[in-house]
Amino acid sequence: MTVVNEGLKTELKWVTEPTERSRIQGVLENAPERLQEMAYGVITGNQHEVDRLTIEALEKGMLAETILDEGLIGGMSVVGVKFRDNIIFVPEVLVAARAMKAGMVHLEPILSASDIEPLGTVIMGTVKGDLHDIGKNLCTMMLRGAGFKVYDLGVDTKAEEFIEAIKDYDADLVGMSALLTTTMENIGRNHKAFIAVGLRDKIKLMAGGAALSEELAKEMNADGYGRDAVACVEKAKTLLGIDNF
Amino acid sequence: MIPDSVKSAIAAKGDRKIDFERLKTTLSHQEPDYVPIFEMGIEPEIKQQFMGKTLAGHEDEIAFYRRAGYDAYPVSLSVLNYKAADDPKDLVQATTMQITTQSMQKATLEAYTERHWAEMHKGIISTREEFASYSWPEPDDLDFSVLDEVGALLPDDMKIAVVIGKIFTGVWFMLGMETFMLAYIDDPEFIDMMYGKIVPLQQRAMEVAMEHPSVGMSFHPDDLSGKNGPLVHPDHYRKYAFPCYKTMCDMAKAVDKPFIFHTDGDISMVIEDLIDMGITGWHPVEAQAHDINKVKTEYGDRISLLGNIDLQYTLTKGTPQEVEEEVCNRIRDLAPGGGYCVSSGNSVPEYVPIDNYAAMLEATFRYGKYPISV
Repeated sequence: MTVVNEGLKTELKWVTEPTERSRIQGVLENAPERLQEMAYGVITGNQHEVDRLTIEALEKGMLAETILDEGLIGGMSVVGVKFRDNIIFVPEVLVAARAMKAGMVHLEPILSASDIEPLGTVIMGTVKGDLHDIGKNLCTMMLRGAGFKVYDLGVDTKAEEFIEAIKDYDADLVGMSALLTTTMENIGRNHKAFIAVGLRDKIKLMAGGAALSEELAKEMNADGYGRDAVACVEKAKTLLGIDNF
Repeated sequence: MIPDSVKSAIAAKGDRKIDFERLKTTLSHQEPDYVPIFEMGIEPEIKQQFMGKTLAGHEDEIAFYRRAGYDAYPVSLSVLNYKAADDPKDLVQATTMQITTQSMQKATLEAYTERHWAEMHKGIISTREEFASYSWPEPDDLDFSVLDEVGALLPDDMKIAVVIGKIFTGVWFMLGMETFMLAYIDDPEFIDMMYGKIVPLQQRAMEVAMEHPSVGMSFHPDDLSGKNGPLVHPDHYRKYAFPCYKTMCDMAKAVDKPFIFHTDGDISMVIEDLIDMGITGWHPVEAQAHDINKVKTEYGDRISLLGNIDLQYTLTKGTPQEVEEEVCNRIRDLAPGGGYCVSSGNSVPEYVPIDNYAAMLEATFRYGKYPISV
């Protein structure tokens, strides 16, 4: 099969790294025309089109999982690459995320009622004292799109709230975000709190946000750092031993 | 009680006098007597520890800046500003709009009581209706008497560094980040209307500042980038912010007052635009986003650089020895020939240990004497 949607063909030109290109093109080539159109709708942030196409695809009997993988995630993968490579910026990513959400609204009830195994269970939260969440929300959306079950605890999240959620949802991974240098320290404090209650060995700890860098994340005892939402998904898969390709 | 590190920094100043011309000389790529220091913002807690008392008003503030060795005193003239949250337990900052018509001030202060820097979602204006009902001031309504007030207190050897900027930031602060970013795609005309209000206000502030005899330079904070690159497409800046800054740069050039632009993050995609606009210098060359030595090599003949003393590690978590080493390296690599001014990688927040802040000053005083010999 091939990519027939003209807009999508043009968009794929932005994906130049060979392995990445082969993976993303592979998914989109296999997608029926309607889902290619949906992927293009996500990339261009056309929420109404994605909403309409998702409803239609479900009515035509397509599987929710296929719509998610080939339509929504297929489109979001291109968005991720374009954002990382400074082809598009925060506004375009936000409208793409909004478009993806317009499709997810229809898929989520079906997916959660089915017995499809999520890739893993993730707890997300902005750490205590920090109210910044745009980046964290994008990561949550991308992780959900990639097939993770994500519980988002919001902003200003205390160590006890993370601990409770890890236990309640039997989480594999915790993602913490911090924008401020001061609140970044709370990632390290949470790491210690997890040790104190015997949970640290059970989970992988991932950190991100403007205050962090690879080195600082290590210093906070995080197992991984993601510089943006795409890297966050890749890191989550790596940490849980899931093949990225 | 004044910490020993502060006493030691003050003693290290030796015969170094306050001299605004030092800053100007450096910014015009010549060597003055000493490498200057500059900060756009220092939290009250730091100043309090440095002076051993709480500062009240411009007289105390100026005394602090002089004792710490700064040649310019920053005064915000921007109509959009933020201040520390009232609750000291609150680590984030509250946003307020500093517009000096009385009704505006009252309205905006009330509106911002529970808001934080930076407003991520919804700001004080999020719809065209709110835009229309907002009590926008006219440029002529603004009160710039602070310049006269400070000017009367400043000794002749010191000048005001007027802080304006906030064209792009000003618009999104008022809308909230998410509202701005979505309207940017959904309703660009609304964004256009916002710039139409903010730009004339900021330009008026610049006009007044450049005419004022106590103002020696202008400093323009407007964060365009994150660590990975611009927040929005550079063409947006080219359409809205840069033409306004070009006008401001021309105003500054006409009266021979340096124009310093401040933006965090990686600005590789727009640095040529900034240089073409005619900026004198760029602050703070964030260490996490740029290698300042490479920036100096590539652009150092066209702009001066200020800052880069790392706030993510060295100043906040490093030791005074590490701070000293970093300042020493910057002076060694960047100061010969002028064009470099020591400054933090953003500002000096209250979580910088006072010993580290004092170490930054002391190292500048110790190693910053021309000819540089470190």
